[in-house]
Amino acid sequence: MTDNPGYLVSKVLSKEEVAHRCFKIGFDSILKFQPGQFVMIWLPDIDEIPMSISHSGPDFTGITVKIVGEATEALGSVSKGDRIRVRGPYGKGFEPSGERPLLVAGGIGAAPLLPLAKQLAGRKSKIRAIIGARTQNELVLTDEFSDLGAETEISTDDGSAGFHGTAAELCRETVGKLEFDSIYCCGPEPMIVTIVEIAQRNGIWGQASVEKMMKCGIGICGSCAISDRLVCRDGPIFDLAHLDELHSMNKIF
Amino acid sequence: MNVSIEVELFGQRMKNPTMLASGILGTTADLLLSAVKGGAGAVVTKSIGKKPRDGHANPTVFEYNCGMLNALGLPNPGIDHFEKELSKLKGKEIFFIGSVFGSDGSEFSELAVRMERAGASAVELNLSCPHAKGLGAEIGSDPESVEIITQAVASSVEIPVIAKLTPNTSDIVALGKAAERGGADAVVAINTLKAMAIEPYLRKPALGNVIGGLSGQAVKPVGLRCVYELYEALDIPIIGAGGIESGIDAVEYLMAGASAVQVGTAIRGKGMAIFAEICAEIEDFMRSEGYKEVGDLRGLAHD
Repeated sequence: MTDNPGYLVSKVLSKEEVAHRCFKIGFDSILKFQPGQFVMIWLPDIDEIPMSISHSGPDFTGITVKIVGEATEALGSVSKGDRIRVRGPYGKGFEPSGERPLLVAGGIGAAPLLPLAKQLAGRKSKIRAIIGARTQNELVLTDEFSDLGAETEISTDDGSAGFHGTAAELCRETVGKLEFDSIYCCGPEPMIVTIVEIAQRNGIWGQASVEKMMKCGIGICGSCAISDRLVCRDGPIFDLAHLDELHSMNKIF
Repeated sequence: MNVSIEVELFGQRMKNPTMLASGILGTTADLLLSAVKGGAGAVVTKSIGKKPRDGHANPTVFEYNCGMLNALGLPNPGIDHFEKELSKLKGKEIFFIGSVFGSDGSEFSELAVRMERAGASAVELNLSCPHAKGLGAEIGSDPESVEIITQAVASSVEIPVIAKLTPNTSDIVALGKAAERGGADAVVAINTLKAMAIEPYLRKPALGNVIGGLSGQAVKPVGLRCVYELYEALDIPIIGAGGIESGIDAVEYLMAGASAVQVGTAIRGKGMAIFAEICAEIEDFMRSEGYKEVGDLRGLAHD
């Protein structure tokens, strides 16, 4: 398909269960991407969905999918050798910044933060990562963050591992104790709302990855609009200060 | 040389002849305002129906270098919700046109009345979406239905009524005349061309709905031909649409007989700033070719 270079039919190269109903999948397309950017993955007869790129190597690109519905169930059921159609990468990625960045992930929110951690590690930043989940077997990619040299702390809502509480609560405690010059986060909306507030109160610059229902992925249909911004084109990464502004106008969350 | 690109359309002033086409980003008040900020003379909302509608399953788009296919399937929040969204435009300086779709004259009329109440400067009838069952082009390719629906709407609202026509017909002039007979104040030509794409390595049609509509540069020659033919046959103004990406594209449509132009697919690459860019290029053309009023370009390609 030389006429549309952004559209690639790819072969699944690897699949690994990294948490309960959560799979790391590598496919044989080589994409130049910024951490935080996403691809649209099409599973014929099922759906096409946006997925953040979570990892990559010289001959593959990868995503990490948590099964939450029909499309993710189908994506989680692919086998080595299966074909999927990938288009992208799309959207605006994270801007790596800060010597002492704090990364906060809620559940599968760890996926887009992983390539960012890799990039920050390459800049010799002293990374601290908070990886939270509802319960121990839903913690995602914790070893991967540690392997990059990030000082990684775990939280679980039910206290089955690490800090007993949400990632946002652990973030508040951590920001009270240590100094950070940037905060990056991805996770459920209430978590992002709390982190926006923590960052604003402490005067720390940061960014969040925002999720919204998407159709075209290329900035024409308006399905993912928040105010005058499009999550697919102007996001999915937004400055926390901008989210704070939108939130105070009741335009988001 | 001073040039003016102001146009008057059905008695209303527009600062320039460019409009945001329906279906492209017209989903929120803030997005409509951002098109105005980007330089659009008028904006057309996403097509709105009576009830919320999810549209077709993804994939809903497929891109070529020369154009794009979409089968979004008229996703929209429904008129109840959209009225609230439009109330945010009250007091703002904006020429907005409410696009509506329905399955018959009474549905179209009801939606048009609500758009009028919500402050729309005009209403555009979607008689041309090529991929929605029982809607759009399925009723809009029959001249009789076009006339009946246009008449129903024209007799229920005070604001101007614009019929957006489908090119998926052997005789677009018959559709334009039907709209004119029904009391339309203008027509838009063209909506997308019925089309499809195949993903050979998956052995599947590349759109969830199989059939979609082709837009972008690829359809410009078809749009120009339609506008040219309509101009020969109609007395009401024609708004040109289809593959307009530059001021020169717009000038070609004006010369074919358009009084104004709509821009949609090109926003994918350049964002809303494309409107100001197109306007500046129209002005450049007028200066270099010695035209003072943009209206002087209208229909120049005709004998």
